[in-house]
Amino acid sequence: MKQLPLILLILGFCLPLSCKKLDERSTIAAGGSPDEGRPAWLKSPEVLLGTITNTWSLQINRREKVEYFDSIYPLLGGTMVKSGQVLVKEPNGLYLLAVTKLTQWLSTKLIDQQEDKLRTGEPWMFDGIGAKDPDQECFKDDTKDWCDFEDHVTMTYLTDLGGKELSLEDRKRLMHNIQDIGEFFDLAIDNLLLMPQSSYAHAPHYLLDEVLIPSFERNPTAAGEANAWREVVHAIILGGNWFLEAPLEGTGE
Amino acid sequence: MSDQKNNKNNGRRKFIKGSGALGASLGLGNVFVPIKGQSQTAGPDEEHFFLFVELKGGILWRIATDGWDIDKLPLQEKKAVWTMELQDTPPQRVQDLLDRSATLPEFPEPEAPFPENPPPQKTASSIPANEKPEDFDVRSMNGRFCLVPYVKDEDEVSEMEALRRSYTKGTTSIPGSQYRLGFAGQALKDYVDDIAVLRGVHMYADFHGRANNEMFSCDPDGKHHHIAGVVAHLLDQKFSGTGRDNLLLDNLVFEGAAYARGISSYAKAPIELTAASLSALISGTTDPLKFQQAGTIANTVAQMDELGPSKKKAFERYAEALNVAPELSQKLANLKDKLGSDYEELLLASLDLEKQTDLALTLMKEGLTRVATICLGTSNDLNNVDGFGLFDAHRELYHKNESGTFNTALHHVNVDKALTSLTMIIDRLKNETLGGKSLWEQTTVVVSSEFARPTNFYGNEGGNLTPGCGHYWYNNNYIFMGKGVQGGAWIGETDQVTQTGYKVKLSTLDQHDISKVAMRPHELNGTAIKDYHTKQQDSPTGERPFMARDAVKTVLALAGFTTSDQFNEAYPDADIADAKVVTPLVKK
Repeated sequence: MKQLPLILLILGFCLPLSCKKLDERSTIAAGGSPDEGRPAWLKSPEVLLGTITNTWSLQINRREKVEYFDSIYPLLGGTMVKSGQVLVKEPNGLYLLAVTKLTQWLSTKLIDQQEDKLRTGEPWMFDGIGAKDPDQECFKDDTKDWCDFEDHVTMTYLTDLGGKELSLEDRKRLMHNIQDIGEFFDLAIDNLLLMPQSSYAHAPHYLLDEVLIPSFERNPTAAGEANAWREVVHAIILGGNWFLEAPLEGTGE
Repeated sequence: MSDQKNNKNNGRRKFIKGSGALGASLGLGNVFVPIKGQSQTAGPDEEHFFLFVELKGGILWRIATDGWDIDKLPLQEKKAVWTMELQDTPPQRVQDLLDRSATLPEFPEPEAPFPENPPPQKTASSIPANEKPEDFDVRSMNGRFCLVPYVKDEDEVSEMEALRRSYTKGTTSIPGSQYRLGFAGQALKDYVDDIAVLRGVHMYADFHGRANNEMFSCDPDGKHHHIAGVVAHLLDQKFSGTGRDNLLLDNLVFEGAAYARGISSYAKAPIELTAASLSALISGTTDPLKFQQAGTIANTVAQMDELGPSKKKAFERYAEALNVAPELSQKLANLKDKLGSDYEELLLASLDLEKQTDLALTLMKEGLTRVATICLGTSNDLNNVDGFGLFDAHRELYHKNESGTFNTALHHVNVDKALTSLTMIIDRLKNETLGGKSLWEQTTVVVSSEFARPTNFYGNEGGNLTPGCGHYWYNNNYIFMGKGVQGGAWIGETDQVTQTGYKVKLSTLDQHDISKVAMRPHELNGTAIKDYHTKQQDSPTGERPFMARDAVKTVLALAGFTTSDQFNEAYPDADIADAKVVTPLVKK
């Protein structure tokens, strides 16, 4: 594997509008409820659309809007829901399937957009918050195969895989970016979300161990890596955590 | 007789030439063997599906299921009755529309490429002076004037013969029941014993939106439930605890159909299928691993102590949905073969009666739907039914598109196409089985339009008093068929000239014999129709025209809810408390 351009995709997958600083998150972790304190993330189709177009600057044409966003409303109960701007309170299988398609499209759209930016030398889509500076400490020490990250994220799979398949350069880039992506995970799916399975500390760990790395192992190429990130984004969004977010003004909830 | 029949059929074939192009590609071209008169009453645990078919806009029922009795028409009264030949579809225009349908732009904008001018049409200004009554406008607006359109299948045929061929009449197998089919309803000729028709139904409202509320919910004010939602709710209750309740796609509504307004515990909320939502349903992932991964996160979130009660409930529901998603997504993905997964294909599917029915029946057989409302003529920028223009007729019987933006044309072709599709649906229901029974035995179908259209100038919206495009309150038709329906029961009369539904003595509707139903024409006595009929005009003598509420109450009876309890609970408005079950339409 000569390069891992897409591994940089979600470096600092976070924007000032939707992210809190680490210390703020710590405050939430210390005593706040995610029901109360989380910034707006994904929720109703309006919020989804607003996040995607305003915050992530993804370009969406009319047909995509109809196909991926308007399609959610009919499955919730038609124009009655749409006109009332009623949000998702009792999601059913139809809503889920509509969101599934949206998720597939969105994960691809994000990866493609970042790929385009890398190709043309544009800045990355998202600014990292650098919870752990990838140019410091362990990450700077080339004698170390792997580094652990913030929030007790350990790289069991990567450690095993790295010795067999990846070059030092690739390993380090992967580590660096997982660190940043780990921050995204924290923000996107809540840093309090402790997975019930005993082997995982929390959601980012689960996503890395159970989603990213297995997918990457199956196809350790640039294309495979891009797909692995798509699956991570897919799992995050389809995981439904946007229900935790505070309602936006004017959404009618 | 057989020659006459052949001539009529030839006439219809000529009339609709080219219209079978899309229908032939629907995979419904089986060799069907009609099963005459098969119907049954409901048992306690028997499945019961409902298909409501909403024909968007107004139908000129006089050319369909309420044709003229030419023998009774006072053709000699030139100041009361006009005849007008409708010429065949201009081939180039049809081809242009079909071409347009085949090459849809990414997101089509309304357009109307009608390159050819239709033949000239009679208008008020073109009426010869010696034929125009002195009080022409008053008479036409009062309905005491009618225009009788017809088609010619052979040039040498006389006008009288052409009229007779365009409007056929006969008796059904039910004593006292007569059918009269107009040239756009000839496809039903071999099916008159399969269907029941309620003619001459008056409406309160005559305009899009309000009228389609009334059509299936008794009232134009939008405060009543759509009958589909009520039936879905009641049947869902009936099947409660059997594993056949709470179906995921129940009260399925296709794009453009009328909805229940407001939330109620007495009507199941609609699930709307548009091209977009169809696409979403059948095009998502079916990979169980992806649902499992998301489900792990969602289940974890659902168990968080910090979650408030409403969010916790939402997450629990969401996690449940993720659990069943793999099986559900696979079921729906199987529909791709029927529908295609391409967005444009789905957009077209949303306009086609047979394709919509195909999807609804498939979902019913999959156990996902029990009640579905199909809509023909939705306004989604592609409001061309099978490429023949808008279903509705806003401008004249034979529309010439002056502005280039208003593509309502060839209403009669669309009506013919819709009713032809209906016959194919009948065949399909009879030939498909579920649980050892035909779908025909398990499905009730109810068809209507938002309102009627007259062939006089009443309610005209075409300008210059052009006939056939008015909004008409006084002769809507409902077609019933399938489970619970007394096939061959054609009931209701309309005046030959005014095209106004007769009054019916309500007490005579409580029994099954059509011949005992008492009806008589309205006595206009110089009163304008629009003034004559109001919401409060119901007669203290126990007579009034058929109203939409009667059709709605009859639907409940067909669903097996024969007492007034369910109707009164679902429709408590005192204004419609006198709704009657049209008993002759219900199988004994």
